[in-house]
Amino acid sequence: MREKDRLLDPWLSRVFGWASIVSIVVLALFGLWGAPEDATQKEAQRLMYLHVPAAWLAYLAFGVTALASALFLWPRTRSLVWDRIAGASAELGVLFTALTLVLGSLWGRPVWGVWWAWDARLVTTAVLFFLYLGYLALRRIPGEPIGSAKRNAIAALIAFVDVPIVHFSVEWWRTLHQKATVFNPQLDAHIDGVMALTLWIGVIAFTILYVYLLDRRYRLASLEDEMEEREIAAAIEARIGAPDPVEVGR
Amino acid sequence: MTLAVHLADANYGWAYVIVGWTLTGTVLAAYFARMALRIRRAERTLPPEPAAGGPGAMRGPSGRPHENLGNR
Repeated sequence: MREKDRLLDPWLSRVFGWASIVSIVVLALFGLWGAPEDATQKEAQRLMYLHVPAAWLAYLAFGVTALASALFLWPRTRSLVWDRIAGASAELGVLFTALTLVLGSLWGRPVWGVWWAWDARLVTTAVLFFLYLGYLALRRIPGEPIGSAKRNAIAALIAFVDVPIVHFSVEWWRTLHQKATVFNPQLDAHIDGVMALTLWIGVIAFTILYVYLLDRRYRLASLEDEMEEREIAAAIEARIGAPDPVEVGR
Repeated sequence: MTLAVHLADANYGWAYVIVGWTLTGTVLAAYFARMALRIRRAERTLPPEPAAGGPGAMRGPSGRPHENLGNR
């Protein structure tokens, strides 16, 4: 087997898997029952406990993609392991960005009265989704491994420029979307009590889930690469073992 | 002055909450299940590793068999 075909030891991966399930169950208990109803938004506000952690995870996943891409581009740390991590993390980022958009839309309908608004936060998030969807499409273009990985890494770093734009869009422009509740420039959280606790449980639960899913996605990518390499090796072996067609033709 | 806040459909907020939570759970479970199946299938169908140093062994730029260049 190749030297790095897993990110985590199998037992640690299982620990993260079970921790994900337990933490998500705790999140559901707090998010659906434990936390009080919002005074203004009523029950609809309970979507926050999924929407905000999903958005956080998208930032985290794209941050890991950018970091892994930079480590690949830096000659001293160049390894295709980083490229594989970048691809796995970007796929999770796209998944959680899609969830952020859908959950935001479901939350916006009862509170704003619309499913979608051409608001800076919403538009930049949609752009982020399509940028990384393009990045995943780029990764599927066949090519020489090192050259393709360099191209992917550069694309990932360019796409990451949109992440701070998404985050600060609510500060830079007048938006329908509310300003940052927790990660605002003053780092002064405008939420407290059980609601804050539930939000933090959501962020921790989704982060644990991210680590677990990243490990699984990396494992899958590793196996697919291994399979491709072995198939090529077997084909070369068969070709070398086959009689020379020129000799046969004489 | 009292700020009147009019929410569009807050009385039916629970319906959106149920849809949102169910959708999230379903999407995450489906993503995990699909990945677990793909991993299991890949582990089962992995062709045998060619003999190290044999004619079909993968070689990196240095010529060493199975030099780990990884892949995409």
